[in-house]
Amino acid sequence: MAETVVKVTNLVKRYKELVALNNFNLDIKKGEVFGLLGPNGSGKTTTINCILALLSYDSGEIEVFGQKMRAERNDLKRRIGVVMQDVAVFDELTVYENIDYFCSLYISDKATRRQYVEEAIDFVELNEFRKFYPKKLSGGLLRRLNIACGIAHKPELIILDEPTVAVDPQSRNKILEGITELNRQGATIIYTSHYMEEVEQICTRIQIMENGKGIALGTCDELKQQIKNTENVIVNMKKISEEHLNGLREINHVYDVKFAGDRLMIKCSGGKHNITHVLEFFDKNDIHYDRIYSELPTLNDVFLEITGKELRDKE
Amino acid sequence: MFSALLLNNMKINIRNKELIGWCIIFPIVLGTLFYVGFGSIYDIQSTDPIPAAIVYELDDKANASECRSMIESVFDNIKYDDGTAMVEYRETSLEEADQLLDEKEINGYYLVHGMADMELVIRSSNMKTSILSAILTGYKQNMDIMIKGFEKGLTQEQIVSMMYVGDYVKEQNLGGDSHDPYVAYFYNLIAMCCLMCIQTSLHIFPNIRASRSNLGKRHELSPGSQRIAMLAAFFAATLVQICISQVTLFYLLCILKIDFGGNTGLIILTTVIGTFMASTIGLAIGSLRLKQSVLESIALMITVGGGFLSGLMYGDIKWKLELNLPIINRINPASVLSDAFYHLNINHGGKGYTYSICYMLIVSAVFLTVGIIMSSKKSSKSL
Repeated sequence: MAETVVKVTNLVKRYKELVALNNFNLDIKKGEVFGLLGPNGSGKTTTINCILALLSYDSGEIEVFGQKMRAERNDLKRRIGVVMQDVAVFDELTVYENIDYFCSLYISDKATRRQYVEEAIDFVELNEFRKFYPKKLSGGLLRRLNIACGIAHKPELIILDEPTVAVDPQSRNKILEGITELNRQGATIIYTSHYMEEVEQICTRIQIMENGKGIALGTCDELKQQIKNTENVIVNMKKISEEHLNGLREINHVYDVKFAGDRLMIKCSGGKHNITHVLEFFDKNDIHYDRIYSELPTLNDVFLEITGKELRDKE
Repeated sequence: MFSALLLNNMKINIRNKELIGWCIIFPIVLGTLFYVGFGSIYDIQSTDPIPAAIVYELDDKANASECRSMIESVFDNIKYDDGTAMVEYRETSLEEADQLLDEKEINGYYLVHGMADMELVIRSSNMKTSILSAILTGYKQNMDIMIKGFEKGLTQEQIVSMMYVGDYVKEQNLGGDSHDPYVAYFYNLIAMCCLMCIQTSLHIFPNIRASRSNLGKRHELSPGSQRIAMLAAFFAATLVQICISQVTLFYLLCILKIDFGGNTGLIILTTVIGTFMASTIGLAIGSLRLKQSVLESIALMITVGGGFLSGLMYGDIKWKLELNLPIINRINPASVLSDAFYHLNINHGGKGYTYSICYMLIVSAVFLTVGIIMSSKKSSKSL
């Protein structure tokens, strides 16, 4: 069995009356890309800050690499790399100097540090920007610099807290590829996000959080199997009568039908080929539509079914 | 680790255009304005004596001759560099004085009612009447200091040392060098320049403490010692600010050629100690667990407020405090620092200088210790 890298047991964190973490548990194994998924305010960043001993907590236990984590445990901190949600670099230092500055907090040997900084610059592909000041970098490049500052010292555990917020799709893909590569090189990753597509794409195991609690845990497939929904049939059409909507509801495996804004959503359980039954119903009743397609459930559906709320923020 | 952090922190400070611009340009501009403002007075000093009259309308006839000789001796001692009298006075009646003033034969006349009760009558406002007015202010201030000083049981030496700065013209100091009273403004300017380091070192703690900034999170998450990171940032800020204060000093000494009365080595040493003290004050303020805006207000209060109380904007305030609330002058960093320069110029060091230097070193040691104690890693209740 793989070694446990992070173990959180019955963690409780309160801010006066507000319970930010409510008996939260976590067990992350070596080599995993572990996703913490939840809407804003669900407790992801609080969990990370408690794990890193930046925040004190009311009760519970946190172990990192099998040892109790505390603020003064520099031996454990040496093995951890953190990429925070907000970019934290010095505006007065160049790309190279910023990475060197933060690497110097971990690595004293000048030659080793120089090598690590060069490798980090290569890794985030900022070679041609090494003499640039942060203010001259685009949002995506700045995020990549932020990542390089967090991982230059080659940590065994890398914690990334929403590293792709406000990043263009191209840079986002590069960041995600980079994270997968770090994992391939042996690092255990904790990845927090409210972007379910990212979590689905890179995480080997996912913990869904809501109101400071873990509400579902498993691989992406395991989570999707926990819910009733197996397929969503989506139809783009101008209008449909109430009679036809009731007819659709009577099709085998269809358990929810909603029409809003020229879009008909038919939620189905029990298999992946319900679209054929819907098409047959449309032909039989001479119903016209613009487009019809089928989608497998996403983590958003998992979240929706468990909590009754949408996971994705309205952006 | 320390050397790498020190080097990078030096770069951070040097490349902070706003900080460097403010810390270099402001004292140079203010110094130049002082120089230009006082320059016209210096020009006058090298020209003719200012004609004036003295009208005695004494209330106390018994001490009339004593009063006359006292006032005449004061005016006789107000001289230009070359030894010529600054005020060419004549004793007249009130009517005669008015007539002379109307005919512009004199620039003004002093109406004397008593030793400590004198007023100036002028009909126009120009540099010469300003000088006559400044002489009156200086005289009254010195009389005030003398009377209150004797009442409080101060020694004659203490009273005389207090009186010098209130004086208007160049006089002979105890070391035998020329003492220009306007130089006090330049002392205060250098003191303020040193104190600007408070603003620089104020940002050290926010940058290394997780509860204060994202950069602070990075520092606290690292295995590196917070104390080493703090000390590297502190020494970098102090070194850069010392260089800046030396630039200002160089400008005043070599470009404007302000006469600080020699002792350049000790003046440099004093600015170094003053800047170091200011840096430790900023460090200690920054370590307080208060909102950044509150900390900035406290720092501003010490820098600008301290500068004001030391006489940077209003020269007499320091001496009013000296008479009524001397403790303020003893603890206000700006006053202590400008006092150090003052004693250096007047007494070539001496007790006052030693007190100022010791005070600054003690303050530095205390605040640096506070900074070191406050720089441990600790989990916060909230971020």
